[in-house]
Amino acid sequence: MTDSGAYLDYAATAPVDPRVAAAMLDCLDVQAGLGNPAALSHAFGARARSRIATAAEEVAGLVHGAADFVIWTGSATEAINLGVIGAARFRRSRGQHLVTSRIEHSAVLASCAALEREGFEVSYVAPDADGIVSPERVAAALRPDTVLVSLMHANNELGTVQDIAAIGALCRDRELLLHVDAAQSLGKLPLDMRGQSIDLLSLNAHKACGPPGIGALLLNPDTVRRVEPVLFGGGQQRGMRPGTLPVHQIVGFGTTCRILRDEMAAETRRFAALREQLWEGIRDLPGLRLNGHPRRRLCHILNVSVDGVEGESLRYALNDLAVSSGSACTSATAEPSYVLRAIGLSDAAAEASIRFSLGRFTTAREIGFAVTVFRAAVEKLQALAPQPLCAG
Amino acid sequence: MHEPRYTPALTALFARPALPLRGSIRVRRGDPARGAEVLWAADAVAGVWRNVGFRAWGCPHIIAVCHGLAERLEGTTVEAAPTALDGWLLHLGKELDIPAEKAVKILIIKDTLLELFASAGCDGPGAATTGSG
Repeated sequence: MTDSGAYLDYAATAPVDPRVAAAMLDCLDVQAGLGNPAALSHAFGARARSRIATAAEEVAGLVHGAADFVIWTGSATEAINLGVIGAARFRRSRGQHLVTSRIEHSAVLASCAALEREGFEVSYVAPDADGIVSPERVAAALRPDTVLVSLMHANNELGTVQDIAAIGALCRDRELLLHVDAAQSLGKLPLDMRGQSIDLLSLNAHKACGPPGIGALLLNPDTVRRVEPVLFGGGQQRGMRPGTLPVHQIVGFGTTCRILRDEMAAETRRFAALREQLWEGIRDLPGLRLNGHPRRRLCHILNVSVDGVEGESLRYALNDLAVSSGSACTSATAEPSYVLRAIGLSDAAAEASIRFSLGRFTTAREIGFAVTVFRAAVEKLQALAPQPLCAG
Repeated sequence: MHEPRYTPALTALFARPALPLRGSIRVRRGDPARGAEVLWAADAVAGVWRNVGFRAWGCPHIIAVCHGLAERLEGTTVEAAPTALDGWLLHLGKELDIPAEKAVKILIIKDTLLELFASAGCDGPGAATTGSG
């Protein structure tokens, strides 16, 4: 709890773990003696490369990837751009068709739109009412000229988890590349690039208590060893993502993954218990609906809609809670969430939706506070509404 | 797109509890598809508005305007209320810094009140707009 209320927006970004911050600060200390990792002629550069290599092993190790095929980026958005656009362009001679879903992060959808402007065709698979994109629907969308399938491991709004292993298997059978956006699931679910037949994996650190400003695209060297760059400059990272590497950011990402490796199992159990406390505290409210799959969802996300209340008023009444809403922004002209609409919610229901997401520093007290504030807001607005149910 | 502005006056009005719906004259207009739905209830007792209450589905500005109008209408004479309404709305519009794009929603409140006034047998100067809702 802070003076500005309870922070329950970890799916947007999470506070940096002090252990991560300490590791980063160590890199920034002049005594660390770190130079440009691209400098091959002196020890300062060598020390920087060593730290980056360790971080690559920590990141790749968490997802059963290959440390030599970690491409550092500035964000998951950049990793997704590089993975989707870079892989599609690299394989253009094999075909110009991609498959994704309607509930992907805008980074994927915008990358696909950019490829469409280049002549690629994209099939957008519809999810079911729980937000599941079934392997059967993906298989039905595949064509002989499909080169890439891009899906998120877990949806950022609903928390719904996709069956990546099954989709990976069908892609592998057809020798297609599978790109997975795991920005939301890193540290919440086990990831196994080899076991789940993932060819390209996009990650970031900041949703898992790592630093903002660092992401990574991991390539599975068994199936893909190069992508076309989307940035141009020096030859860093084998030319696939040029630019001087930020050692402190990368070390922060590596430390984040090392902590996750050691603590993820216990931490996710704690998240699940806190989320259950939240759900049990509000589930009896009239008109409350759980959005997303009731079981196949991330342990730290709870997305609900409330009948009989208006979205902007609900958000305003929840001012003491840092949560996300089903509206793209809070202006009068905001569009309701395309994810919630894709699973069948009306515009009004989407706008009256709230995503709670908790994390490492969330306490049971904060959850109790959130229950109190949310109940009070909903009960007040429903009492004010002229529906027969609530008219007093 | 921009962040909506919520003034201290809006915060204070929005925080008020729902008024009891005791009035026997009831008028309801709008619907969620239009962005606002309002139900007014009041009694005209010896030529004075009493027991003013409302129910509203809408944004914080809608709810705050209804609270502000209910407060002003309570105790106002039936005869004076239609004439006063535009001034009340003008004042609330400034006090609550209502965005221009919400003007149509505010009109739903005005139309509902004018219909309430007409139901009490007092068609004031603004009553001509009653049928717009």
